[in-house]
Amino acid sequence: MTQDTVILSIETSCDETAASVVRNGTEIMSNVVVSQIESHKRFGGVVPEVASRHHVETITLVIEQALEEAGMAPEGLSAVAVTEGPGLIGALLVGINAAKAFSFAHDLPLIPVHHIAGHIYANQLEEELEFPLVALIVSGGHTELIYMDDHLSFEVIGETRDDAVGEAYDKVARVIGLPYPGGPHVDRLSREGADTFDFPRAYLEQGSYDFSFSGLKSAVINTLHNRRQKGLEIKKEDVARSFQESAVDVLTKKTMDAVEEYEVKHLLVAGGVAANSGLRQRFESLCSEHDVKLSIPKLKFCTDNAAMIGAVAHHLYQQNHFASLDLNGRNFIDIELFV
Amino acid sequence: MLSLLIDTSNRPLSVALNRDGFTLAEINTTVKKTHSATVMDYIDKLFKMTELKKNDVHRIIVANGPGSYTGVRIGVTVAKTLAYAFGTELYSVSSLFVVAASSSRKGIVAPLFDARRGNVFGAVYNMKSDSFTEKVAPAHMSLEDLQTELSSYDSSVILLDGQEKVSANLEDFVHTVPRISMVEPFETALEKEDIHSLVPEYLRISEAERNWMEQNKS
Repeated sequence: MTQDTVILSIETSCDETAASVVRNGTEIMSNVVVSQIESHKRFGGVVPEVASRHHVETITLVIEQALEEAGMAPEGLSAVAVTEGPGLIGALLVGINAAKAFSFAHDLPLIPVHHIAGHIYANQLEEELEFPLVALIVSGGHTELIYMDDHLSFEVIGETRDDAVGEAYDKVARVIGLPYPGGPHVDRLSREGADTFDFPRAYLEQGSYDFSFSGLKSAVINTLHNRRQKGLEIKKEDVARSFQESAVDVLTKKTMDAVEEYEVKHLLVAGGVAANSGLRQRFESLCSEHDVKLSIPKLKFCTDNAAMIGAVAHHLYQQNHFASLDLNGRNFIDIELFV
Repeated sequence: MLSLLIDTSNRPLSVALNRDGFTLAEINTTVKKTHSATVMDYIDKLFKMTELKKNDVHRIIVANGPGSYTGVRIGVTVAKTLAYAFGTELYSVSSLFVVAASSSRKGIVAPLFDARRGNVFGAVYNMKSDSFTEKVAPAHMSLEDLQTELSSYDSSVILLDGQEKVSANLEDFVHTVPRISMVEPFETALEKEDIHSLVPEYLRISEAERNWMEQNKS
């Protein structure tokens, strides 16, 4: 039995200031998340400069709380991990500089972590990953299908060519008059509506695992615009349901095709949109039909958090994947070239 | 008393280790490099150069703005986290005062940073050898207003830190390389801070908030 790894992880890539202590990549000793969402609501979306300002206000408090809740002194830590990217650059820099200062002060190794790898490994906080697997990452910034045949081996087999699915959710929410962030509201309304509009499904060319949601978004906007001009009634619940059905159809069809072609027995779904009830239900029935193990993290691990960064960092620690003090934030990092 | 001093407010970067106000080692740069990638590396170098132990530091002094929003945040984040991790005292100093102290000039000086569209972040100080009086507190103001203020003194000097945009519209000015090691004799310029609650002095709300307030005036 090798020695335990206890990692302090920090995540500030968007609008949550988060720190966590995780043992051996699976056991959450603490998981502190300070959400800024109330501040960004008034703008109808995350404002990068405002996000960065909030991060610096709370960063040391969040770190202190994570250590206290874990009952862990810095001397007991094996390393400090931090999200290197992708994300909002100004926001990332707060977490990265705090992580570097902390690792320097306590002579701890510094582990840079890819944000999307974090979302995938959020599942490891609940159950072991079984390789090979396919992971669908769905959030406000990402829509990606990733194949993994082992730990830290990421192959992007499909990604969005335009809007991320969460972005489309937020825009549709706005046009039907729902507050930011719109995803959960659209999901809630859709349960009371019917798929009456039959919006287009963008499957793209045969054999492609890529996604496109801008056409669907435009179809919703144009349909509503036409009906408003003609003075026709718009049932918001039906718009929400019709939009959601289209998005879920495409996401699940492409994912299940990939599961079949790559002959995997484990499907992971992660990212903020993984909390969507329509998407969860469809995957649950498809996976039981095809005898595939499905893992979707609890809601608090779907959205941004630092525990998921600590879960990846455990494996990076085993591989001595460390950064020096000149680590910088990057708004884009190719996950295939990350390790 | 060992002090670690940090300024990453604008393009120049300045870090130093002082003992009892006397500089043991400092690194000052004016090249265009990302402070995020360099500042911790340079702080590490200071300890290596002096062969001092990190936990011998008694206090950390950070320039907390005004300046580039991202730049100031990097310095403040590093200073806060180091002070928290070491359990040392934390002090802030105006980034404009760093320029005033670095110039070693006596009399009325007006350090300023470009804030675009004819505006500056500026202050006016009356500097003596180891004391000073603040005539105009650091603020976001028009260059014109600052020049009007300066015309009320018999003599004054505008100090810049090497940024070219403002200097293009100025006749009389002196460029100074910011050296945060120089602030320590001016004890009243240093403000004791609570580590967790220290935030940068941006001196200006973000553009998004400004627009939002404009739209929600009523």
